[in-house]
Amino acid sequence: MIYLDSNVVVAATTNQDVSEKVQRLLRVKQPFYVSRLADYEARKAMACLDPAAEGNLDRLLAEKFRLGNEWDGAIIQALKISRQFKRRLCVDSADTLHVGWAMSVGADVFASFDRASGPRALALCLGLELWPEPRPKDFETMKRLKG
Amino acid sequence: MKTLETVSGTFVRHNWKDIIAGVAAGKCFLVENHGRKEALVISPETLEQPQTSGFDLDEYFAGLKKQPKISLEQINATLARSPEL
Repeated sequence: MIYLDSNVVVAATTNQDVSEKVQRLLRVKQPFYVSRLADYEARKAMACLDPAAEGNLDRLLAEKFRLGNEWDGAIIQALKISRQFKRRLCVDSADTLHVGWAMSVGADVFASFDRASGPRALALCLGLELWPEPRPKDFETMKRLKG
Repeated sequence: MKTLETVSGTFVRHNWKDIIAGVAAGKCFLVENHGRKEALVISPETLEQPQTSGFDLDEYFAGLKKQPKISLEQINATLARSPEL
């Protein structure tokens, strides 16, 4: 299963410069999972960027994505991550929750374009595969997380 | 069972029907909760792919191209959160 971070959800519902990459991802024969958290964050961003994109998200949720509401398992897993990394966890609460959510629903792949705030590196540390493939910046952040 | 992990706190799901379905789907986690081994199961609905009949990905992306173009930087900037306390 592929967990979609909010930025990938927005990218899949708007016209932007990584459309072809996202289109290739959506061709993969695996379930795509959108957490209620990613759904909320994406819709909030769409209100500012392109309100029409919400209709596209509704369509993808009906046809292609699975919307998940398993907050409890996600929070337990995110807290477990926080206890594991302690002070080294330079990733904010919501990003930690995204990674915890991906793990709690048994995702194999964490799809995110966010190389700045650390969720990709955290996912990599915890054994999830990354989409798009990891770059030096991800490994650099991962080193910091591992201490 | 996919993995053995130790967790504490609220246990998420404990329903044998779910556990059996989870094992069948290859997505059952054996966890230890306050010293007791239990199973944390991902519901089969979570793993199901929605019906995609009638959904044409190429047509969908062709439609997207008619919308105003934005950049990935704009997306990330809009989603960025304020530094936490």
